[in-house]
Amino acid sequence: MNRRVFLLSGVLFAAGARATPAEMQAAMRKVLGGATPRPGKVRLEIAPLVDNGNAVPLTVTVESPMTPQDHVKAIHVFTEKNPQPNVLSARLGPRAGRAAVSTRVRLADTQVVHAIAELSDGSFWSGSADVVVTVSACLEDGSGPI
Amino acid sequence: MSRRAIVTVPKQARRGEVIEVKTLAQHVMETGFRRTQFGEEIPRDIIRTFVCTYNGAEVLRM
Repeated sequence: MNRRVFLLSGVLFAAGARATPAEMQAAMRKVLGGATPRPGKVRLEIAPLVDNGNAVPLTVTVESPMTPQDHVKAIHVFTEKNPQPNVLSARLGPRAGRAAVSTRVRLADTQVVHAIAELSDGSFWSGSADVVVTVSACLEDGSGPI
Repeated sequence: MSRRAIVTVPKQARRGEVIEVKTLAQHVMETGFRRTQFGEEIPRDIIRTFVCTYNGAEVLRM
């Protein structure tokens, strides 16, 4: 079987009024469905210091053999302070070859970026990364003309 | 509006090899939170779904 890994370069969206950590927890619960993620297996590659939050390269990789028996079903990314806490959800399977997605995200502020991976055995694993943002994205919330 | 999408793949790959595919889509990605100078909201216009298939079989969806 051909195995493929995909690298996406699209700017994912997140903007406007701030979400709160509680809203992020609620968004996470929706994904987890009562399960508790264990720390580990998930690695976020993101610059620790970001000049411009409008397009931040982010790569999430998960340790997995990506076989039909043991693979990553989904990768979710969450932030506390972006107006939309669920930044991205990618569904993948054994055909993806590697459990890795790469994209650009917007970051509203200095914050912790969280990632949760859902494995085929039903377990959840999590990782996180601290990011300092000097120029925030998402601040044009009606305060001024475009 | 002219919109462009680019898909980059290796020219060659061995059977069974894992390859990296890059995509880039031109899109306004309007957040829905901005307003015009007259205070009217600019409606949200973003890419909501991305699906990648190989020979018709879904590989990745986000």
